[in-house]
This record gives sequence, C-alpha cells and structure tokens, in this order.
Amino acid sequence: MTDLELDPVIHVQARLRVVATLAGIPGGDRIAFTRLQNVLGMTAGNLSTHLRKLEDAGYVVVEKTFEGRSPVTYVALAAAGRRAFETYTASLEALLKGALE
Amino acid sequence: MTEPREADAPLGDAEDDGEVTVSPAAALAAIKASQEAVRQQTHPSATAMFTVWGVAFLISYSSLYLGYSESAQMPRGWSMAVLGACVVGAMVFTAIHIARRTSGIRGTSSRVGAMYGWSWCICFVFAMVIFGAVADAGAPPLAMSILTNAVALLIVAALYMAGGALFGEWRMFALGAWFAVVGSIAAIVAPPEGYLVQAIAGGGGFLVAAVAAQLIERWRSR
Repeated sequence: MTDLELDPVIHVQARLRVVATLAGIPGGDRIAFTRLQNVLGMTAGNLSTHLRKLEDAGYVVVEKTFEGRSPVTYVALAAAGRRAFETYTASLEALLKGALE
Repeated sequence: MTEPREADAPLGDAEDDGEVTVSPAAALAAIKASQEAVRQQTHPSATAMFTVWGVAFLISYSSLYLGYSESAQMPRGWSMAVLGACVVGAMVFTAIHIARRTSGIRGTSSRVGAMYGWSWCICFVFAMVIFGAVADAGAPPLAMSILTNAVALLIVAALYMAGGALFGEWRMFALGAWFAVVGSIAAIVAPPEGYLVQAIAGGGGFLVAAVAAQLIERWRSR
C-alpha cells in the first residue's frame, strides 16, 4: 500500500482535524459551527472553506437553522464521512505497520 | 511500499488554507489529539462533578449528624438548612457545568441528557409527595428521618446505575451500586449514626471516584 491510496479529501492537515473532531462527537449529534470553530481553534473563513470541500464530497452535512431569531449552522459527519474516516484510519495503521515490517 | 513523501511534522493549530498533507504517523497523532480535545471540551468532567457532590455529601451529612436532636428525634433546623444549601449549590454547579460543556451540541445526546435530567427532577418531586403523605399518616420523626434519607439515596443509587448504563460509564454504575450499599447500611444503623455513615462512606465514595476519574484522565491523555 502507498500513501497515494489515502483519501485525498481527508489527508490534508486542516480537514483531517475537522473530520477527526466530528468523528469524536457521538453519532446522531451535530455541533454548532461556532462551537466547532472554538474546539478546533480555526478561523471562520478557514473552517468554512474546508467544510465546503467536505460537504462537496458528501462527508459532512451542514444544516442552517434558526434558534429564536438567530441563525445557527450545525455540522455533522455524514454516514459516508464516518465510513471514509474509518477507512482512512485503517489505511494509516496499515501503512505504519508496513513501514515497521 | 514507498516511503511517505511528506514532512514528519506534527499538526499544529496554525491556519492553513492550503492543501498541506502530513506523514501517516503525524496524521494518526493528529487524529488522537483532535478526538481527545473534543472529548475533553464537550464531555462533562467526572472529576469535577464527583468532587463537588462528594464535598456536598460530606458537609451536609456531617451537619445532620452534628445537628441531630435526640429529644425531637430529627435534625435541627440549621443542619437541614446546611443540607439544602449544599444540595442546591451542587445542583447549580452541575447544571452550569453540563450546559457549558454541551453548548452548541444538539441531537441524540442532548435529548437523552434532557430526559435523564428530568428523571432526577420528577423522582425527587415524587419522593417529596411520599414524605408528605407518610408524615400525614402519622409516621414518628425517627421513621421519617430514616425514610427521607433512604428514599433520597435510593433515587441517587438507581439513577446513577441507570446513568452508567445509558452513557456507558462503568464508574457511574459502580458509584450507584455503592450508594445502594451505603443507603442500606445507613437505614439499618438509623440516625444520627446513619448520617455519619452517609457522610463518610457516601461523600468518601464520591471523592474516591473523583480521584479514580482523575487518574484515568491522566492515563488517557498520555
């Protein structure tokens, strides 16, 4: 196996952190954009850019809603995103194991 | 197999709008760090909650023991006020702590958490109704002291064990089972010594759980 087989959507520094963080939230839950930004310590613009790419790949679900009168954006890992992340992690482990052998 | 081409640099918090890739080892480390960070920031701290409730138990039941009137066969007013203040204080801390940690997270866990929170509320209102009805039926003060304590601890034991099952937290389940034992002993021993059992074994149980939670936390983030 080579590193070329690693999912290019996830295998990017910032997006990897976004996906790993979203995968760390229990399934069935979604997180507010501002809270996610806070947990990751990323700027809104940077996070938006990466979320858009993840959304285009079908890995995250972005939902815009209202709480009272304030607009709130919620983000969750889609089923495809969770599967891709699991595959990606398994590939990384296999790569490292291969490197050690 | 080919060698990874990227720099073996750890993932920092630096902004990167570009497509920076990393080595497999750094990627795995970043996954672990990200998941640990989100867990620590969005999960209530078991150490903090167990410590607060441990101290509340220790102070309130010690005061019930010290304030027990043999002639009236019940704790004096001031000691009940201390109990009330400790319970309210610990409840306010718990509510604020959980609200802050889970802010901005919606879905299954917030629904489960709300139902679990309401279970506590409804059970204690139910208990108050039982106490009122039993007192009205003419139960003597000593019997009321045993009953109020035992029922309160029964609720704590049952909901801690249920919470342990719900959230997959064995520490919480073990603490609930411990409270069932402590509550049984306290009921048999009867007040005022029963209060001392609850102060030491109940409060102590929480504090031991707090230390265990802290040790597990350290071991996890290593």
